[in-house]
Amino acid sequence: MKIAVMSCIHGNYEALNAVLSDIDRQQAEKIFCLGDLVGYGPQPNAVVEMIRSLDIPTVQGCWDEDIVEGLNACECSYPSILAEKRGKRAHEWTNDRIHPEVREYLAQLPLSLREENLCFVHGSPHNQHEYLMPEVNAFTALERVMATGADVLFCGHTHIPYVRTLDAGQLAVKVRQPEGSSTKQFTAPLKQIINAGSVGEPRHGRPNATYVIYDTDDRLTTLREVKYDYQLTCQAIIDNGLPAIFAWRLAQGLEYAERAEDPTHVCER
Amino acid sequence: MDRHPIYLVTGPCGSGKTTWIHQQLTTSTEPSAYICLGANATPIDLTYITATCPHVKPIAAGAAWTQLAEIQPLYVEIAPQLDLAKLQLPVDIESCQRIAIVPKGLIESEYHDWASQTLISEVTEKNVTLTASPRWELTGEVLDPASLNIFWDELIQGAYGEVARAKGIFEIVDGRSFYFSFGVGFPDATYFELPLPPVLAGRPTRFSGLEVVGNNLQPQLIMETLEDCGLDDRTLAHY
Ligand SMILES: [Zn+2]
Ligand SMILES: [Zn+2]
Repeated sequence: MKIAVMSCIHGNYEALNAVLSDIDRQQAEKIFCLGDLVGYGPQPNAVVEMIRSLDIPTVQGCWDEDIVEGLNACECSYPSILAEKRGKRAHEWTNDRIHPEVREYLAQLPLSLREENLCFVHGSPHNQHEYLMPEVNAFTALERVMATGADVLFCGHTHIPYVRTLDAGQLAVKVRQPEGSSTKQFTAPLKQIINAGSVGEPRHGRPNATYVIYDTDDRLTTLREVKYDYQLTCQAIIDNGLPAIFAWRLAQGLEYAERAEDPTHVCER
Repeated sequence: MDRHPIYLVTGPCGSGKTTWIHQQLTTSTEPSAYICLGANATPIDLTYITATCPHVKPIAAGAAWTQLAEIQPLYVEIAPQLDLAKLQLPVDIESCQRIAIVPKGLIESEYHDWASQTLISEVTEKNVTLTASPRWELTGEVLDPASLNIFWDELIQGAYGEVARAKGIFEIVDGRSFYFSFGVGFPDATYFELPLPPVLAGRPTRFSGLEVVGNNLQPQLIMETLEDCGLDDRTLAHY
């Protein structure tokens, strides 16, 4: 079965529409969404309405949580004072405009979804604010997949798509028991981490939306990059009173605000 | 007596006057002097030359004219806002080396007419302006380096209008002072630490600031973003 997995739409309705059309053309049978429906972009309500109307199984992203719970992000989300100020402006703007039923919908989203041997989360199985960067060491990466009990872990949040196959074979795990610790060895079958990139806020140097198609039969992943009329979103950013720099950054494929780069950082939140 | 000449250096905004003077000053270690003339002459150039060329005596704009001819060679940078035809100096202008730094493609100008020697810089004509460029004095502002990097990348990539030339001196949170320089056609698009003593307590009182040459610039947005890069007193007190 062919499934489509997307993440980080960030209130960019034009990008979402383009990706949904592309998913149609790819003939994916099911769509999953890894959260961050809102934040930074100019159409948070329209994006949520679309996801809801299509009944797309969705997990809660870091931005979705912050809109429900109030800003409470770990410092790692903001590597600079400038990024923090921009992030807070985007949060306030979104918070002021989000419809009550949209907020309710975001509040009830699950933190993870399971479908047979596949698991879907926003950041990592531990925390939707944690960045699972492609460079994170193999042990940590494998631990995150194992924690879910699934073979394939789909995540987003970094805004850069990637596929990582973990062929660790044997994994030694220390198990703490009341009478002391013992070491257990076991063999792990091939595990995969698949990052779906970002629909509405890419950071790969081009404005195009990214998502993935996954074939459950042959475990084949296709990273899709979809062109859309990003100028419409840029115009909407300016027309709706969001900082003009967001439009410029979107057009450059630079994300709306710079993100934590430290690949080894594990969120302490 | 064979005296070193006085160099009067002129040219449009962003043509590379300071870059040329700096090249001359760094090829020798003999005592030299530098002054920048012009309404609102930016202390960025003066601060940069003072910090990087210890053998150069900086003469502040507006200083006594008698200082002008004391140390030679003397480099006098003339801001483009000054009317060359009405220029008055306490030395005989005709006896000075009059250097015009002009961009490629500029064939005829008042600079050509006035100069005894015209040098063509790597900068192209479309990247200079004949009018004043926006500038910001930031003295006392302490910037977060990660924010400054984002701002600088955005600035030189055109987020605040098309930038042909930008130079700035910024104070960062650990007390160091940095010189940032970018120019279309300049080989030294770079930044480096100025060899100045670190400011370890309170806000620095020495000069810092930014000057930008370009088209369709958005000075208001540049100023607001610089403010967003700055540390407030409470955050600063933590360091
Ligand atoms: Zn996101
Ligand atoms: Zn996120």
